[in-house]
Amino acid sequence: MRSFVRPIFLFALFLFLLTTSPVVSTHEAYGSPDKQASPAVREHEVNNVFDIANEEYKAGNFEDAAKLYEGLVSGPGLKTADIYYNLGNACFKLHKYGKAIASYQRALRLAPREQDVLANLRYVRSLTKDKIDRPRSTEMLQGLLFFHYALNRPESEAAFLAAYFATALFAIACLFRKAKTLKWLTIASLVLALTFGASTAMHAYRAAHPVDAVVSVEETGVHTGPGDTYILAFNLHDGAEFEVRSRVEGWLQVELPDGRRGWVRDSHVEIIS
Amino acid sequence: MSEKFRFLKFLVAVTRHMMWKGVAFVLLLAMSVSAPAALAATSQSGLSVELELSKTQVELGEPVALKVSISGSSDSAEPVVPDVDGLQITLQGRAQSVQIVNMEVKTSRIFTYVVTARRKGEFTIGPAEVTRKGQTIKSDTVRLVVAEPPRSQPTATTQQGGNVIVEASVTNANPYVGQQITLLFRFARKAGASIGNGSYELPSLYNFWSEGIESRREYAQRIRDSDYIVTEVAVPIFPITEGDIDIGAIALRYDELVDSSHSRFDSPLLNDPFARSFFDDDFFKIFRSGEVVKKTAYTAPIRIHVRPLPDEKRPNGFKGGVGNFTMTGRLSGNEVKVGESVTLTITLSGEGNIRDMSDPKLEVEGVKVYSDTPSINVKNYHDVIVGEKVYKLAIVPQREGEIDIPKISISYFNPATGRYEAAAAGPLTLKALPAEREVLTPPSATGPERVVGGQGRQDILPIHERVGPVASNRVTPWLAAVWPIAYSLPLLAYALCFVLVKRRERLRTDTAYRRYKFATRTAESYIKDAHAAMASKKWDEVFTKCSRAVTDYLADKLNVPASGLTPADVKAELSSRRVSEALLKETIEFLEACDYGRFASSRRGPKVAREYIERAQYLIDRFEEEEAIKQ
Repeated sequence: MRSFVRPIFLFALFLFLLTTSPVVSTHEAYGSPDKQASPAVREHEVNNVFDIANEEYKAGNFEDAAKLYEGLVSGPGLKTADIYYNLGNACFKLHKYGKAIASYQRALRLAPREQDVLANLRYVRSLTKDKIDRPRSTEMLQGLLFFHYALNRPESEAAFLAAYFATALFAIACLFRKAKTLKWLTIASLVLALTFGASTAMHAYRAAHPVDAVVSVEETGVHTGPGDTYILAFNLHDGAEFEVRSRVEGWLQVELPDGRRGWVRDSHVEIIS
Repeated sequence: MSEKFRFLKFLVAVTRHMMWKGVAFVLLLAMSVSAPAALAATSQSGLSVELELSKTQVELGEPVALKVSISGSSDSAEPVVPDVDGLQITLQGRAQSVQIVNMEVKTSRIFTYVVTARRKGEFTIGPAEVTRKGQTIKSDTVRLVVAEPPRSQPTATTQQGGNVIVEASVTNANPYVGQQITLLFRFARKAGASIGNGSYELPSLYNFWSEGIESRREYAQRIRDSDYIVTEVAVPIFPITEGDIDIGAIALRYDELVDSSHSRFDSPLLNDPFARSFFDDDFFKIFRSGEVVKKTAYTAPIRIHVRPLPDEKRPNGFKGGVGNFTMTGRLSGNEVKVGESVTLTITLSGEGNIRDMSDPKLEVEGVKVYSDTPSINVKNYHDVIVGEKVYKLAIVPQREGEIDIPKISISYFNPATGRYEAAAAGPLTLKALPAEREVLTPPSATGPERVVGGQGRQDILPIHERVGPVASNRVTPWLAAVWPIAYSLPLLAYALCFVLVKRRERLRTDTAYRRYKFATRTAESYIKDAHAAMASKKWDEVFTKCSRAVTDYLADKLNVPASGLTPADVKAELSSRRVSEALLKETIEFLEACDYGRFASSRRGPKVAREYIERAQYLIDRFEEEEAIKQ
């Protein structure tokens, strides 16, 4: 009994420490209720502006529609996947593939299983000039960690909390009754809690330190160092996606999915935060 | 006398001052007359031509740069620099400079020539002529003095006192244009010679292109019955012009300690000619009796003859690659969906001027090909420049089915065989699968944009008509409400249960612990019995229960058997645990009084019984605070 109880207690303590940082960051992200505007009023305003933007879009005034959508997501109002999705569509119509991809990516962060967003993102990617290979290991990893990519941060955290509660309940039951079933249920729920906890922590970290970025100008040069005086290694075009590794004033060190690295001007890039 | 002298001196000074003023006045007058005329002349032509030599004195074979600057016009013809007997003047490049000064645009063109002397002597170059709109403008002339370079090789040895030998050579004196040769510079220093601070200076290699990757090695050699340490520097170079090319002298500059007792400084540090000697420090200079002499040794110039590449069988698209190369091609996948990309990586590698190799051309019907800037990696491998050039081509099929990527080849000239050859990769086969059909959600909007995906899809899916709420918005408020207790409650609950279970487990398994924990409860039970006995006027039982309350309490606390525990035993146990003397004495007196009370009828009555019950309770309370009996 004693030998089984101690690891469970340590696991529980570890779980608590593990989730401390996501808790803080998540809570800050949600904001305390008194600091937020009244949801009813806000939603009402958002709906009105959203409808006007949609009308502009249907009338072919994509520039105006994009400005309205951007206004919605840049303000303190609700940032929904639908607004980002429509903003992506408007940017696509304006042939701004990089900005469209960035908007779809932001929509996917809020609604990762939204099929319309996935379809449009795939379509816009197929139109970009740079065809960059993604290593098979990346695809395999994404398949293995499907739960991380299929859930957004709040969903992942909710799943973590459910597993965390289950772990605690089963562990308490184990204290009072020795049963193999209870023991295995505790271990299973603990594994789930750790998995979703790690996923939540990863979501929170990526939100606090965004690295995904996309080229938002027609063409940009990738240099071997942070300056125009460095050798131009290759060019990237509107919509090329990569990750930001480090920053030097005015320049970003980026890494492409195929492993190539270089420096680009930060004004030519939109970081997907 | 002295006053007269002073006066005369003053007069001389005034006269001299006036004379200078007069001269200045005359000069000013002359300038004011001539300047408008000069300006008029310049404005008429709008041109000025100047000649400039980078050096006015050179050694034979050493190239020198000649600049012809044409100011004031950007549409003039190229300057004509007259031939000079004994000099070879070759145009190297041209540049244009535009400056805006005080809202005035000033344009100048600079033509750079390389001048190489074929013999020693004094030469006059120019004037250069520039023609514009029928007018010819001439520059001034410049003078160049060409001297014989100091002989290096064997003769240099005698000049430097026999301690140093320098020589230069090339691995191939008859290369093709673009073929790599190696310029070898060797210098040998006699073992034990005090030589330091060595540096070498290569001649200007205008007619060559270099990767700037030198290699250096050092070895010992016996030359003319003396031991020498030889340092060899190998510089791979590529000739870029045809004909005879002179490689000028390589200069070796070094310090030599001329001292009969130089063996004192015979250290490895001193022997490294490129290292600053430890003994060159000022501190050590005061101990030296010898003298450090700065010396320079020169190699003899080298003449090579560069052959042009043969015109016969020169392939189309040949861009000048010379060497020996191989090529491989690899697709990142053998299957790809229509509209998606697969990368064709072509790796060209080998010896030679890989930078001059032309880029591969690939055209396949039904496939879009996007090329990228190739990456080049060059290194010096045993004095041979080897390199790798990697091209990445994005292949995007536009139709389904098998796609044959033809053989890709790049031509180069192989100097070893004297023929044009080709590095080739492929052919390769790629299977293009049908494009993925999009899985669409139930119609959230209608409009002309919605075209079911796949190959026929022409546009994005339409916008969403409603703003939400999406899943995350439903979860977020719920999480915000529960998060303060959600994280702490399970852990606290578990911790509480854990402590409870642990305590229960210990009570079950640890007798001493259980007795210790329940000692007070047992004593209280006896006190309660004593109260009951007092109420039923069973006085002897009151004393018995009071005595048991204290003895059993102590037996439980001290984990000793309670049965048969006499006051003497209690005293011994409490003394061993260093219980305070006063409490010990009080306890023993109480227990003895209880024993006495059980049998003495004079001590019976409710007052005495209540007193003993209170004393028992008091003693138990005292022992509860007594540190000596705590676990």
